[in-house]
Amino acid sequence: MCNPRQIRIRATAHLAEAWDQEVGRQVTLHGSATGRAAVRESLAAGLGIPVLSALDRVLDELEGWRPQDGGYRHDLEGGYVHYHPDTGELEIVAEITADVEAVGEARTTVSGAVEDDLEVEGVGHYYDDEWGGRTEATARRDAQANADQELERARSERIEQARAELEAAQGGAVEAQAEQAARASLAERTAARTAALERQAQDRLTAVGVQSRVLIQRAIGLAYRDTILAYARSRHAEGVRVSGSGGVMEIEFEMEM
Amino acid sequence: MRYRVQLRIREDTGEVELFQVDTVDADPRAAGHDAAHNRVAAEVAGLLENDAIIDEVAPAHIIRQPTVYTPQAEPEPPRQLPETHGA
Repeated sequence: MCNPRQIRIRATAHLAEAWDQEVGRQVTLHGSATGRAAVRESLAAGLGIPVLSALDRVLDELEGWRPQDGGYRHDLEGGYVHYHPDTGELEIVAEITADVEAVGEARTTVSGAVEDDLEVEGVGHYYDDEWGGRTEATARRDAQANADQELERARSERIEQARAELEAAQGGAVEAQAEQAARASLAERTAARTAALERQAQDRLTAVGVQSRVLIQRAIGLAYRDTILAYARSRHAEGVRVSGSGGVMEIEFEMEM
Repeated sequence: MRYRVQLRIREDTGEVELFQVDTVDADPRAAGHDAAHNRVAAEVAGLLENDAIIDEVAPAHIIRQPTVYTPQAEPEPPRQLPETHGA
């Protein structure tokens, strides 16, 4: 076997292709809907000012209550209760939240075209001694066949590239349309879900209200205690006695007036 | 005049079971006794409630606390006034 030889054949072609291409996008958006029902009740209308002042301090330290928006909030199953010291109001809120999903689609057909000059090279191998039957003639055929294959590959690649560029160029606009459709759908679904959840929240408000009133009344009881004890101190009361048993707190004192 | 103040609160509900102001060692027939007693009872009650209703249960005064804050979903049953053994 002598030194290998090779034959190179350069092949060129003019590519001119046109086609119609569909560009489509699907966008999925996630959101949430909340149904809310609330009622406000005045504590200030009934409670004395000293008790209202003491209530702030009680809620500041009472477990489960946390400062929020200038008031105190206690979260509950399915809602919360919020005391607003500035107005002396108790806000009882039932809330139900659910996930909402919407899909938007958009597609369009665009025309694509590509025109280009392709140039490739085919290679064939042979040996001087025609080893293995590889002669210069077979090498030339091989080189031509190789060049034809390369030309076809280059053609396919160029068209795919053009299609991809068209897809990318049009994809942004199509995706924006799909997102717009998804947003509209999400808004519609959220509104419908919210309306349904608000009806459920309204039904739940009674139960949340019962829990809320127990919680605030417990705090008011402590505010009563603090208020009356502060009063006793201010009057230099004697025999101040605070006791508790069986879930009942008793306060007793005597004073001269 | 000397007064005794008693307050009894349920810890789980905050309900006031008893709020009572008695005179101690005072003659209920003395001039101005009732007026002074009323004034003190109103002062103490006013700390807790704006429009406390003051009931007299001879010979003492009981401040009835009808409802400081009335749950609307489940109205409380009528409150039973406690007996008093005051002055």
